[in-house]
Amino acid sequence: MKFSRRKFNIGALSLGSLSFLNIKGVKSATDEQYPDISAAVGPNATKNTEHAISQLGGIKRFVKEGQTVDILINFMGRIAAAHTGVDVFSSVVEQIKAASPAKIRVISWIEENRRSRNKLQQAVEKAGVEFHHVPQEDESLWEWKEIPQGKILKKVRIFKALNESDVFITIPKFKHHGSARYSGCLKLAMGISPRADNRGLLHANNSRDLEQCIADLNSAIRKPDLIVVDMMETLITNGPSGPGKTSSPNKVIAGTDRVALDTYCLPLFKINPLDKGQVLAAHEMGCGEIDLNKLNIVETEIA
Amino acid sequence: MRQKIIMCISILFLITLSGVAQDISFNFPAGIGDWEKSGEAFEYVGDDLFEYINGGAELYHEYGFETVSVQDYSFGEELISVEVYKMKESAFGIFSMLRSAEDQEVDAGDGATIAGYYLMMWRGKHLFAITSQSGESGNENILISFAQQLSENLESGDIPELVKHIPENPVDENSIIYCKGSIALVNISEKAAEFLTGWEEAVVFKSINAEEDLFVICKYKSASAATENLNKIQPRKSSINLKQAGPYLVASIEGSDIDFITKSLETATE
Repeated sequence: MKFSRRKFNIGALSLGSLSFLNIKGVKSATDEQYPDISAAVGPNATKNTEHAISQLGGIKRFVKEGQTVDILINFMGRIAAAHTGVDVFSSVVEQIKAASPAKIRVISWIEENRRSRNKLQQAVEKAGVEFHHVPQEDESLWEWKEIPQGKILKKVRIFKALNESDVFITIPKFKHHGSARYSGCLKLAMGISPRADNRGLLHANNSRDLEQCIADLNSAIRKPDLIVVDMMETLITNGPSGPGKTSSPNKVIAGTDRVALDTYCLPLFKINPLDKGQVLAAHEMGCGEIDLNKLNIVETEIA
Repeated sequence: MRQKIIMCISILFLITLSGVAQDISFNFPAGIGDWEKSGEAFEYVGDDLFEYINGGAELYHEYGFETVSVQDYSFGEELISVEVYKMKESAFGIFSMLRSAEDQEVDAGDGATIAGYYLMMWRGKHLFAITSQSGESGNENILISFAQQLSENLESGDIPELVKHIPENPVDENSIIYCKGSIALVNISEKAAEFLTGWEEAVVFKSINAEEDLFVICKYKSASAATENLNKIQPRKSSINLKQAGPYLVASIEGSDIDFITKSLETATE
C-alpha cells in the first residue's frame, strides 16, 4: 500500500479521552485524527470499502451498539455501472452488522418491479437486512418540508422514515446524468423525495435550475452520518441508467461531507466544481466544503 | 345453472389474477436465433417514462418521446435486453445524442453503432438500445443480428433537414449531434448552451481540420429572431466566433473559421 502526501494526524489519538464530547454534528477533538475523505483504489470493491471506512475510524465511529441504521442507495439501472455496486453495498452492511446495531434498513420508494430488475435487490435480500418500502401513494408516510432558504425549491415532501433512525448512511454511485450532468452524494437526496415531486418540482425547470433544486433539497434534509461513494465501475455517458460508456476508476471513497465528496469525484467528468452547478450551489448554502485544499484527504492503493 | 354461472365467473376471475400481459405496442419476435424471450415485455408511455428512468426521461422528452417497449431475451445464463423507443419524429436526433463518435458503425437500420456491450440503432421513428446485461463485450455479432432482425420490417426514416445543411467536408460525420432543446446542448457543451439560446433546433459537430473546436448551427424561427439573439450574445461572446446566415446562427466555440459553414448554408437555402 502506499499513502499520499496527505496523512492523517495520529497524534490526536492522545485526545481519545474527550470522545464523550462527540455531540452529533459537532466535530470533536477525536474527529481531528481522521481524514475528511478516505479513498481506496484497487480492483477489489470489498477490500476498498473495508479500507475506506477503516481509515475514517471504522464503522463503530458512526454506528454504536443498539442503534438503528437506515441506508439509502442507488437502485436505478439494470447494468452494474448504473446502480450502487453489490459488493460495496454488501461490505458496508457487513461492517455495520459488526457494530451490533438494533436494526438495519434499506429505505426506498422505488417499486418492487423496478428494484428487481437488477442484482442489487437480491443483494439486499441476501444481506438479511430489512427493506423498508415507502409507497409514494401513502400520504401518511410523507411530510412536507418547508425550505425558506431555498433559492428555487421552497418546499418538498420527504419520507418520514428519514428521521426515524439513529444513523443515516448513503451509498451513492457516482455517474453521468443526462439532466443534472452527474449524480453523486447530493443528487442521491432525490431518493428521499417522491417521484411526483422530483418531476413536478425539481425537474420542472431547466437543468441548471435542477442543480440548484438539488442544493436546496440538501440544505433542508438530514445530513448523512456516513457516505460511501461507489466509483468502482461507473457510467460516464447516457446516465442515469444507460446503456452507455463505462469507466473503471476502481475507487471507493468514504466521508461525511456531501459537497466535498462530490467535488473530489468531479474530475471524472472534467467539470470544474466552481462553475455554476449543484456542488457550488450546495456549498454556498452551507452543505459542505468545496475547497479540497482545506481538507485532509487520504488516498490508498489496495492490491 | 346458477352454479355454472358462478363457475364461469370464478374461472374468468382466476384468469385475470394470473396476469394478463400488458398491451405492448412493439411486436417483439418470440425468438432471435438461439435466443428466446425471457419474461414479459413491459412498456411506458409519455410522462410515465419517468417511472422507468427517472430524471433521464427529460432528454428523451426533448426529442419527442412517445413510448418505450422493453423485452429481454435469454440464451442459457446470458441475457440481452431490447429497448425500443418510439419518437414523434425521426429517431436520428436521440440516436445521435446517445451514440459516441468513437463507437463502431455497423450495418443495421437507418444507422447503428456498437460499443462493446451495447448497440444503438435508429430506424425511422424508432430508437433501439440492445444491451448485453452482463455489461461485457463479446456478444457484438449477436447484438448486430438482433438489430438487423428487429428493424427489417420497420419503415425507414430520414435525417432532419438541418443536418443535411452541414458541409460534407471537412466535417467528422460521426461527431454530428442533432439537438431539439437545451438539455441535449448542455450535455455536449456548457459554453455553447450558455450563449446559444432561443433556437428551435440545432446541430453540433466537429471538423477534421479543427479537432479541438466545436461547431454549432442553430436555426431560429426567423431571421429577425436570429438577429435578436446575435445581438444578445455579441457583447459577451468571449472566444466564440459567431455569424448569422438568415434564420441561422453559426458558431465555433473556440473561434475557428466558420465561413465554410455559412457558405454551405447559403447555398443550401437558396
